[in-house]
Amino acid sequence: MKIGKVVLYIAIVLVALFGWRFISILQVPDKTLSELNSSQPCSASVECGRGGCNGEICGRGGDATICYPDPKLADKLRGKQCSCMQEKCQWSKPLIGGL
Amino acid sequence: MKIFQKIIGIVVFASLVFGLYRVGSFGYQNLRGARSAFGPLVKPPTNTASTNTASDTTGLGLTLPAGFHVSIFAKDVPNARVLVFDPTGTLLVSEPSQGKVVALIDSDNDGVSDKKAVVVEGLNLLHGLAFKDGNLYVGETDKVTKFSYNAATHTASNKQKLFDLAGNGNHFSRSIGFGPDGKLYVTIGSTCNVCLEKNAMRAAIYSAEPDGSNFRSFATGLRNSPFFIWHPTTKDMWATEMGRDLLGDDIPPDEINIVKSGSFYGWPYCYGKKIHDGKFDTSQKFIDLCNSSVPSHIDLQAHSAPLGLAFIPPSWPKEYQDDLLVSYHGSWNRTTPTGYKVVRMKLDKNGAYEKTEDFLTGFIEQNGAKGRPVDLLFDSKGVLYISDDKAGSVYRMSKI
Repeated sequence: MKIGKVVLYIAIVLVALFGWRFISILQVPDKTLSELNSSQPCSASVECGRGGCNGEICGRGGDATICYPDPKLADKLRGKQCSCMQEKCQWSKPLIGGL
Repeated sequence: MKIFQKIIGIVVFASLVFGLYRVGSFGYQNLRGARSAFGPLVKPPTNTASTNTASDTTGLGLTLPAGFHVSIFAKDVPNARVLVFDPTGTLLVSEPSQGKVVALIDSDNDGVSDKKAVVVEGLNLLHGLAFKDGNLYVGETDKVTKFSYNAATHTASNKQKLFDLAGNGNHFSRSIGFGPDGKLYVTIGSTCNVCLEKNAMRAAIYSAEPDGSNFRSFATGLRNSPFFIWHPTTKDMWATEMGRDLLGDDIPPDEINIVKSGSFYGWPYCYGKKIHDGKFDTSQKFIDLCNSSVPSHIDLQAHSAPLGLAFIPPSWPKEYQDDLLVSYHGSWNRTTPTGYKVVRMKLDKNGAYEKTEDFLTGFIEQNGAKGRPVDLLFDSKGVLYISDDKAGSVYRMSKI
């Protein structure tokens, strides 16, 4: 009985502390992805490296062709990758390696 | 009473869990690029420059050492990247986003380009430029090509493909240059931030004869080394390298490597001076590979984004001799931006590193970057040219 209560307390505390984070990581709102994918086209791959892929920032050397999400969207887009080699940014592929 | 005890117990337990959570979240925040607990690997250099006798007419408000003048040589040069002089001394620049090579002509030799000429266009994400025996060589993202060059008309023709390169994935730039041995060298960055490449051609430097034959691996384990140069005394190749992303504000260091034939420089298994990247993989096999790598020659502040580099020519003041200038393109996801400047690395005559100082700063202000320096190139008189792919300019820096 006592063990059951302890487990219950642990569960309550864990949910209280981490629940929001699991939700925010797992929940990638369709609206966000839809908005990003329907935004203006990425004109050229080099534009991706210069912040042109819907405003995302894409590496520091000026020769990147893969976008990473703006830190403000990082939680929502974790595990997604934006490719600027396409005509439009597509948040779909898993992020390679980084996380 | 029992309820009171339970409440106390929950509070104590919650405190314990919260403490563990904070410890755990350090790593999480670090992955997201937040400030790491470690200090900068390279102490930010102290600016010893005095502007008392320095002159800046770029309009950017740059800070430079006393005794120098910086001005705009050419503007409206979109995405200005690699600089090279043609056989008659005219400056050429690659514009990857435009698919062009452009000549910046200074007809009256007054230090300002008064005419532009499109040398060649329609190229596929070109980057590197080089001349050999009067021919123009261009590094496109999927190949290296050679053109007959007419210095009188600043035009290139008779395009000839020398060899194919892997052209997909991340890091499109292909920089090229001829070494003291007369061979053509080309850099190819990784397809990813950190991964095991399926194509062995990536994250490496290759060499070939000027006609494209004998194409072979020169060095490997280089994540992205977009610029390289040759040491005037040792004749070794010195190359900048950008370290992997998403490990935090201050790791891993960006690097300058002395690149030697047949050597392995560690990526993706480690960074800097043979520091194993435990966030990538912790298997013993990878640790052994890391241990077999050649360490960096100089570690730079993480996220600096080192690009072009140039050794100081003999015509510069004595205190600059043997030193190296490096352009820092600047960070993209660091909590506090870094880079956006040109630094001077003090070296001895054999290239041993002593310290780093700011040389040309002021490309960034509180509202954002005004410019991002890319390539550095000295002419035969010791005038320094600097390309800027954000401002779309080429600057000219000379002694007063």
